[in-house]
Amino acid sequence: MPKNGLNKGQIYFFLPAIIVISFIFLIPIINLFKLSFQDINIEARTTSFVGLQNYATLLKDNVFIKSVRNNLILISMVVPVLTALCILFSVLLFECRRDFKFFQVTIFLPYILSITVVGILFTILLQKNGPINGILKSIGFGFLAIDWLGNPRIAILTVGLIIIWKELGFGTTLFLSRLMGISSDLIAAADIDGANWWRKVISIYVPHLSGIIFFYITLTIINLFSWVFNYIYVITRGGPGNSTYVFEFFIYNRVFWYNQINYASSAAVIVFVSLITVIYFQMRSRAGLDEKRDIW
Amino acid sequence: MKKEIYGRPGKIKKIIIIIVKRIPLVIYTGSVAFPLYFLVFNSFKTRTNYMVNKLKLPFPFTIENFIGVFTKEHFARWLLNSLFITIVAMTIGSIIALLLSYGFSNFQFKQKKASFSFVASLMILPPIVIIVPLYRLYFELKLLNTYLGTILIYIAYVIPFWTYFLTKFFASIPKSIKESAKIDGGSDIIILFRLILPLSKAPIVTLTVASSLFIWNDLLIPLIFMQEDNLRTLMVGLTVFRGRLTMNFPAIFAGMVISTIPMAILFIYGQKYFLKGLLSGAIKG
Amino acid sequence: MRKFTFVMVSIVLVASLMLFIGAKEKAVEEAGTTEEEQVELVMWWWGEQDEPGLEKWVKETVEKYEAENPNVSIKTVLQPTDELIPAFQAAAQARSGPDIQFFWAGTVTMEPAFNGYLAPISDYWSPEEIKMLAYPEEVTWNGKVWAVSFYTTICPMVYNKEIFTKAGLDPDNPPKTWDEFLDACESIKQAGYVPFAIGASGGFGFSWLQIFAGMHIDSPAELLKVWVGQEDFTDLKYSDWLYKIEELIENGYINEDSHTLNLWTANEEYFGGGKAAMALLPSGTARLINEEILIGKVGMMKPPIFGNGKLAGMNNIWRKNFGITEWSPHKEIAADFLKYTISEDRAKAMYDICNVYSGSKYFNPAVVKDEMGKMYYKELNDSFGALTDAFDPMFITYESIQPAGQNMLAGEWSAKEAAEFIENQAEKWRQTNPELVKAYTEWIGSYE
Repeated sequence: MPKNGLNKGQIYFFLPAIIVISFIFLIPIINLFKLSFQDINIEARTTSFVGLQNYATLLKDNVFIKSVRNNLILISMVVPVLTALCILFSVLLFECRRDFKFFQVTIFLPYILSITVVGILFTILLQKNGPINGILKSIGFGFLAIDWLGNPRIAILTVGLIIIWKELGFGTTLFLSRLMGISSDLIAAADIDGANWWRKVISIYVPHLSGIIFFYITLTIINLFSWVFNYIYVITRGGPGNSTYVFEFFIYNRVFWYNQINYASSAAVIVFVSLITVIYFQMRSRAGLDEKRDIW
Repeated sequence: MKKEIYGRPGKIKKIIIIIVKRIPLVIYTGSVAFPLYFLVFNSFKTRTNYMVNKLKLPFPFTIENFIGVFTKEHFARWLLNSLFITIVAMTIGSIIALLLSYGFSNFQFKQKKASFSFVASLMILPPIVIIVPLYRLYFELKLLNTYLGTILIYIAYVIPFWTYFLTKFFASIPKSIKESAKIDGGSDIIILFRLILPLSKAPIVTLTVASSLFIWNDLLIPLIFMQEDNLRTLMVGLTVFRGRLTMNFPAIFAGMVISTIPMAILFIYGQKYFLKGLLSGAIKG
Repeated sequence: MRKFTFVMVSIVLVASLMLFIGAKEKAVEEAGTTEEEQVELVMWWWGEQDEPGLEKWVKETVEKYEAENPNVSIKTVLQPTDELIPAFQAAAQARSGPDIQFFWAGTVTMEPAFNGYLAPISDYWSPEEIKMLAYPEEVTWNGKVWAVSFYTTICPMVYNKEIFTKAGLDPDNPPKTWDEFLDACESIKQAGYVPFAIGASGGFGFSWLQIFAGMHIDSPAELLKVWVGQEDFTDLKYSDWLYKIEELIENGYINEDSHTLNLWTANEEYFGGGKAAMALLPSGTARLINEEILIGKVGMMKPPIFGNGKLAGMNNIWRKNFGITEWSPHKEIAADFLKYTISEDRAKAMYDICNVYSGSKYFNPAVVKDEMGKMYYKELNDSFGALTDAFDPMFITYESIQPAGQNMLAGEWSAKEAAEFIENQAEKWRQTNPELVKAYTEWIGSYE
């Protein structure tokens, strides 16, 4: 049995995956780069090579820049808040011995709902004269009854809030599972030492969670770049104005409303390459930090 | 000890702490309960009733919306489409991923680490990036508006996700078990299905629930690749629904409730394993 | 041996799954032409959302045509508003899909023609038949006529007579000039009502406000010149209407949630709900509200004038069209069906069933017997050449004017910023669509 290569029988384990991945991922990515350097001449029905022209126009496109900026805004708002809340809630659940199951389930519910359902629901609830503002006003929090989705400056932040609402359950459960691995002796010892709640959090819980927190932050950043189309499409469709365009929506709009395929491909390439770069550097630094990551 | 020394005041302090600890939980639970209450209860109101008061309990309680959704729109068709696509893509995708994970965790070859990282990194790929060129490819191959085409895409997304987690899990299975099975004359395939699979129930159920949720709830891919009304999936149908029935909110709510039920059932059913799987640290990050 | 079994089993499994999938596909596939002469036309359309009852007309028209032509079956699909264009664009990319496609007025019809997605109707109809279209000039380019009119929407400015009375205004004499309009708005506001209601969330609403855009303009060709770069949009001749709207916003004459409500919601809630004095309504909705909700209180007015252009004071009208797709394998039959849709009988039926005015010259005005109908029909003719968003390139409408408008209504942008943004986006559009610019320039010719 060759040690360095695979024998014939073992190839079969990899073959189906290779076929599917090449077909769905590799071929399109190569074509994507190709498309980004081209332009279509409608009359002549030909495509011509235009080099970096699409990219040049793109970098001056206010809407594209706004789109990418919105992704970054989402990341810088959602990641810290969501992570902090997940830590908080997982700690609270961890310490609520008796009724943690009830809260556990309710916290997890938004995760099961589809983004479409959540989106439609909140579009209706967050109307300027809608139910949520109505309730806020009636309990005296009228100053909070703002124009959640209608104000171009805060609409994207509102979307961020909705994302936090929906994602909280998953992160909390993830952290909770890790917390359950803390030995109860350690906690008992801390209690005896007279450690108050906050000290416990800082010195025991958070360090124990550090690995998974890092993982979760990475995951969330990826999600906020690559998987927010649904939210925007259902809740705001890029509006009001174009204040909630995200790069996925920009590409969708340019391709499927105006057939600007090459232009959109260039946008996709820019974001793709940036993502890869960021992830690459992140993985390099992580490999240095934590060698336990190796699985074999 | 504090309790003994300080007697009653200590007990009160303890109760206060318990209450304070629950406040954030209660606030969040409230923020979850209210929208759900709004959604579910309003789906049982008539259209005019809803206009009159959006928050009260549905007094003339009616299920006309639920019936109407099936009779007046293609809801049933959309539901079946989603079910079909989810089930088939999940099944095939998971099998391919099982094979792949087994390969990564048990075989040795030169580019193993690199190729594993490559596969895992596919998870970060924003679907919109491949959709544009994929759309043209599908057009050439006449795969647009076909079940096969859409299912293939989902399979491609299921594979990296499963492989990433399963490979780690498989690797954590003690080598001794595999060794003894090999000695007994088992081929790799047999080992995978007879031995490893039963041991992996927890992560597999977890991954199944997570992937099914992903496919079921997805919007972008079927929006682009299954545009024919007959082929629409449920989530796309919901957005179309919302556009067509702009003022009839209870009907839209009824549709939303129905579209959540299958996943709710799956979740309840798999909850034992799913939460157990998460909580037992099967997902190690 | 085991490996072999495994491979065989998996092949069988996958194959049966594929077969299953394939079987499902076949079940969904359109009933293609099985017999020699059996033809199926697919028509994607829109309109029920605007004019309730139109769907009934479409069904009836299809049934009657199929009865006369038993070898033809027509499948109609009512598209959702947000999906009409993306679905068509996708079909155009794939060069397959509908045989007949609905388009909103003007540029929404012409850009697919410019892009080569349509087959000109003038290739299939005789010149006499073409003359029976209501306004073929609007869809003429390069000497060919590219679409068949479906129906014409008259979407006038309406007012609530009761609110006018309560505000001390003459209910039979709505304001005619802009200054009179501002005074009227002030009186209405003092009386506790919203002077003017519009809903611009989701885009369309602000485009309807282009009812004020033609005040200094004599012909659509002038506006088209802006888009192809021969004129500047920030020139007041073309952008004055933005400043006028800004005036309304600043004085609080427009409902303050206009940018959060969609058009139909705003109209129903504010005008239909008796809270707003004026709004823009399609005539069908105006009639409905006049008959069932604000009985007898709905009056029609012309937009108050602030300029001397020939197109000043015209109400919004849109001529919706049907086009035959370039990839349709049944173009002659499609053209024949479309000929039937503008026959006198069908034109009359359109009015009888849903009070909608067919875009056909066969439409006999004598059919319109009621006062309201006559009034709207007259207005339709008076506003015949109206300048609307039908003369803005699609990209400019959806990605420039509508977002700029939303920002204005939300109080975030001034009219100046909006105008600059629109000109800026127009420049961008010109850069990324040189062929379209060329086609538009040619199109101007049919208006001069």
